[in-house]
Amino acid sequence: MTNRRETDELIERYCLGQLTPEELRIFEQWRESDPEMANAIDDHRLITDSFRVYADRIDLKKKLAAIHDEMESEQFAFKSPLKVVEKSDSKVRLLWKRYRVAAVAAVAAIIAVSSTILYYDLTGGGAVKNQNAYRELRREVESIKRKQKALIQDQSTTINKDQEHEQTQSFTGTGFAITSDGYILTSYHVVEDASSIYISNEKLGQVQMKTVYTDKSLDLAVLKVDDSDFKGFTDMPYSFKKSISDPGEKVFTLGFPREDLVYNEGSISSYTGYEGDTTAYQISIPVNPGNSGGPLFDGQGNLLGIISGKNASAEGASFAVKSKWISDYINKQRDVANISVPSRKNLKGADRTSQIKKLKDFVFMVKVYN
Amino acid sequence: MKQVQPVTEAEMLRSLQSGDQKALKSVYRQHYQTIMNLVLNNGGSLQEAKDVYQEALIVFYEKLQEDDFELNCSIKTFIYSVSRRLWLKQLQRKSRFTDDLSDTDEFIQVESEDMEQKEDQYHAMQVALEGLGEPCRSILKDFYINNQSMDDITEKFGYTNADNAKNQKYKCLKRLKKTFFEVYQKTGNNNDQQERN
Repeated sequence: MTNRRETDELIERYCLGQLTPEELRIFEQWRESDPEMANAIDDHRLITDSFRVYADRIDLKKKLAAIHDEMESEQFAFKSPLKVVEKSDSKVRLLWKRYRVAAVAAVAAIIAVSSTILYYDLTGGGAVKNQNAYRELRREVESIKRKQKALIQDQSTTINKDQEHEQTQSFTGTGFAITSDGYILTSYHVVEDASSIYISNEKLGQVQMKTVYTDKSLDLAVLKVDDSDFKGFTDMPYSFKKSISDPGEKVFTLGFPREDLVYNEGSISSYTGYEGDTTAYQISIPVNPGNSGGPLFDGQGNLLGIISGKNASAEGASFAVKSKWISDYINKQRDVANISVPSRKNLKGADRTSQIKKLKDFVFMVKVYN
Repeated sequence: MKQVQPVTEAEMLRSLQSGDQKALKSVYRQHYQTIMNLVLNNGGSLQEAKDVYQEALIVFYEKLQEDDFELNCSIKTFIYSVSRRLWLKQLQRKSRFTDDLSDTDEFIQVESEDMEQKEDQYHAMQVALEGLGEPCRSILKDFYINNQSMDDITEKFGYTNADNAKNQKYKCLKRLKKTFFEVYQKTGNNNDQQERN
């Protein structure tokens, strides 16, 4: 109805102070004689005010988030938790040697109860699916360490002064290099909500990382080495497979379900992942918390995917995001970071042990502190 | 409460009121630790501490923009008190009934209505805008937030004349109002109920 529209426009112009003196005089009379009109004006004012509140808040929220990020990055550079971690690591190792049997039992029990179950959300909050069986495989470290500490204290040896620092370490996963200048790939759920991230392996030692970009729906995160002393990795020996692999193909993975690198093999079982997810394969490799973010290779050393999780209610059903989706995704993010995925084929024809010898330098334990 | 504010606090408030980014940053850094401790000491996580803190700063910042707002305690006490109130509410929502926190700082009583009116406006607007499809959302945002003229909008969205654009905007606003008031009134009622309990 044009009539209503005209009235609304009149109210709007009145609120903006755009009425002519003549219009204003008539309008004010109207307002005073008609309580409904007065209400309509109040409503309109509330709406326009709410638009302003809304826009200001969004702006302010962005500013606060930026301030926080800046503050946090400085704090970590300043506090240098790196050293603390090394210290506590060596203690843990020492302890490991001493109380191996007891610790193994304790750790196994704790892994069994404390593996985090975070539900995988493919659409980022949209469609509801049966997610109960999908289990992501980052490993919660804190409780394991606490138990180990308790063991130390029982034996009344050294008192650990760095307890608070240790408690900030929360999760580990696996990651692997995708460029020689320091970009690595891991699972989004491994680095989710991270305050600081470190990667380590035998060759590299330990370096700090920063997040470059992440994608929750594909469960991918690209990190970059954040250390001025970093010299670069040597050339990547593997390439991203562009095509889709078929069920039956033999595959293997390297990962850090514990402090040391662990190899596991199996084959591709299905073209699709959990509940028909076309971005992932189902694979028959037994994987454990800590394997998340690990690379999946074929017999020629081509990268086929990245381990993302497993079906907790089925035996031997693990999942890996397909390399095709990973490289498409990385290519799409060109404006954020120009990464070209590796395309060497140095591993073709080599036997498995020599393949692993070459590959192990490019696979890292990802440690996340929340 | 203290009557005389140190000069620096008064200056800080003025800078904040004028939208000075540096002042905001310095306030943020100054009080983060305090609020982090408060939340962590009372059963919260780091992430929750950050959320509560930022929410409290939003309340503080929005209060400062009000003409009749007068701060009669220190900035720190105000932020602490609001954070405290927010965290208590969250704990209650998690059904851990408590009126008591282990406090590390002095605080003043903050009425939740004071903090919630803008929150309700923001929330209702967010829901209403999300519920609108395109081009409605963009048209309304352009007009009411980005202050674009109807002529700009006519051109941008390819309407044949300004009257068509106006008609479209009118319809969009009508739909937005409907959802907005539904949500706004509902949250208002809920608050009343909570207060009574």
